[in-house]
Amino acid sequence: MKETIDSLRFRITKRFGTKTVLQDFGLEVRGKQFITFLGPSGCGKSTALNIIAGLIPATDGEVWIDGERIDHLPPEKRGFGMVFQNYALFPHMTVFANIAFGLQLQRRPAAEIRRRVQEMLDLVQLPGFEGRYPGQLSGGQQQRIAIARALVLHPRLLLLDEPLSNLDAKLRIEMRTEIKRLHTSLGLTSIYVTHDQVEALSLSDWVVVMKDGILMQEGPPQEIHDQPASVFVADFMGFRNFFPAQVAILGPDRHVEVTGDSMRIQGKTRHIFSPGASVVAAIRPDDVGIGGDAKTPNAFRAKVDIVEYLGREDEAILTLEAGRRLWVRTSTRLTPGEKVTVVLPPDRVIFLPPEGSGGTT
Amino acid sequence: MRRGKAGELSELDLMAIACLLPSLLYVLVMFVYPFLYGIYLSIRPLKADGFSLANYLAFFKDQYQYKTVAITFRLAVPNTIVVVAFSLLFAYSMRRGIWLERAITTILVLPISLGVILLSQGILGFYGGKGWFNQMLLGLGLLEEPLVLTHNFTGVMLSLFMQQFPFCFLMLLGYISGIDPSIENSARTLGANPWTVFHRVMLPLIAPGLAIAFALVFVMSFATFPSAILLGQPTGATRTIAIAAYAQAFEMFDMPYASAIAVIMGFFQLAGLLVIILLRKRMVMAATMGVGKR
Repeated sequence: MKETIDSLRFRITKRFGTKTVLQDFGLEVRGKQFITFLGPSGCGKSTALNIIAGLIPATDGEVWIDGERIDHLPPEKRGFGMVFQNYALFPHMTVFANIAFGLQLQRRPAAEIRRRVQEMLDLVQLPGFEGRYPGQLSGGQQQRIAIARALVLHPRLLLLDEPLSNLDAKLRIEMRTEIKRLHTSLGLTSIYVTHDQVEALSLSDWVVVMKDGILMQEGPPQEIHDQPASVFVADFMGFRNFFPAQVAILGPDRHVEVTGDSMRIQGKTRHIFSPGASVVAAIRPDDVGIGGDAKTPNAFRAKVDIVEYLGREDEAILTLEAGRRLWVRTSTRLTPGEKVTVVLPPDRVIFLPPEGSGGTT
Repeated sequence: MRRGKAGELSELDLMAIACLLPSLLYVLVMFVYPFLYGIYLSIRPLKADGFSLANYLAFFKDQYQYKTVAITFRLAVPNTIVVVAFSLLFAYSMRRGIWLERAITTILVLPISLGVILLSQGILGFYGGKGWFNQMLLGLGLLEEPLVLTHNFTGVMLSLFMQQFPFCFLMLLGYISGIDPSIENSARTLGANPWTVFHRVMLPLIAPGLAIAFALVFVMSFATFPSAILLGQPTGATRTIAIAAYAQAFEMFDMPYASAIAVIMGFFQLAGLLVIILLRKRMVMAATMGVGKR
């Protein structure tokens, strides 16, 4: 079996009874990539992964790898590795037996099995753990073993289903780096399912944002992060502040000025709007500037309501004079009740089609 | 948790004892005392003064009596195996839910709620010489003579199966569906086909539940009494040890001898349980050590 793949292509629909979990969810990728399915719980990302693995049948659709259609194959014939959220180690087998399981099914010679299990334990930095049982390991160690168990078979595709969500915050970051290291050093193609945008951005070459079984946006992490195409993706990517408005002025070079709630906000738009169209202006809390001249464009007066101390920065909720709330993250120390000037830097504001308008990239 | 020094009772200990007291009392009065009294009775034979093992010797000297042990085993062991095997088959295939699951489960479980007597009457009516089952086979020309399915060994087996299957099935279904599905999913992605998943991964995980099922069904089958009377030949082919004890107590009015038979019955049940526990240990060991050997 080939150890890496050149292309992966699928388009799947899944219905449970009358409920549509995946609607024509499709993707085409080439070369060794780290792909992430990102979305809130219930968006169908895990279902999609399970269909690709062959663990759930699709209602309709196809999965192709390197020009071979594989959706009719049972999971054991696909040659994929899979890592589960709850580790799914065999509790009645030792670490050695867990990792050796797949190799034994392939009837490899005992010496080769021993060598490869050993290599894997070194790779996941748990040498000497052969004789332990999963119950004797911590969550992080169990997940390392689960990864080793999947990798020892040299899978042509590695599927990871929220592998870090059961770990505590510190371990999660450690394991994230670990997964990135393994992926890069082994030159794998991986599909990673998560609801955590930091995981998605830090690990992936290609991010697929999903909602209600539909692909909302796909692209490299920078693009998803900087240029979300919809309010949903923007919200998921940390744009906390949304201002519904109408397009007032369309200038040259994609310059746009919008008004809403007696606020005028200007910036540059990637989307093409017509004058008077409804739009949503959005900005991240950490992009809002504090202080400055209230007469400059995009500057507003606001009152500080709540301040949360986060160490290096404060997170604050402000009320703009226009009455809207504004989330701000700043190293400027704020006190509740204080009146300040906030600036929404024009190059940091994005303009999106309103939710439900059917707007696309 | 660290408790007070040795020999010292903490408040928590006293509380625990107080909470346990009612159930302890219940067990003492309703089980331990009758049990010990039964043993005491069994070694005080009617025909002799003082303590003696005469009743036990009498049992094992009398072919009519000791044969009941063999008969009971011949009923209980195959019945236990058949019941557990069918339950395992059904429960395992229903572990992830199936179409019309609730209706099917209800039908499978219904016999439990009917009671032995009604069930036995039903079996007599349906499987009897003039029952529908035979009438149908005769009518279809598949048989010349009606099958004798009641008032013999087969009748008792049928009845035992119908009483114990629902119980065993429900227990195993609960046990098996409690196993994390991602464990078998991971085995599948590692290259195991459904059969390998079953015997290498799931069976060892089900083994503890299976052992309990074996133990309970065996003990229940071994003590069978109403089925053996209603559907069997209580004086011949299905004279189980429970019938022997009953006959001594309420037909011969020899309570001590009956107690001795009951104690012997208990001994064989315990022996059966011991065998099951040993087998289970071996099974789990084999599953874990079977790694790398073929």
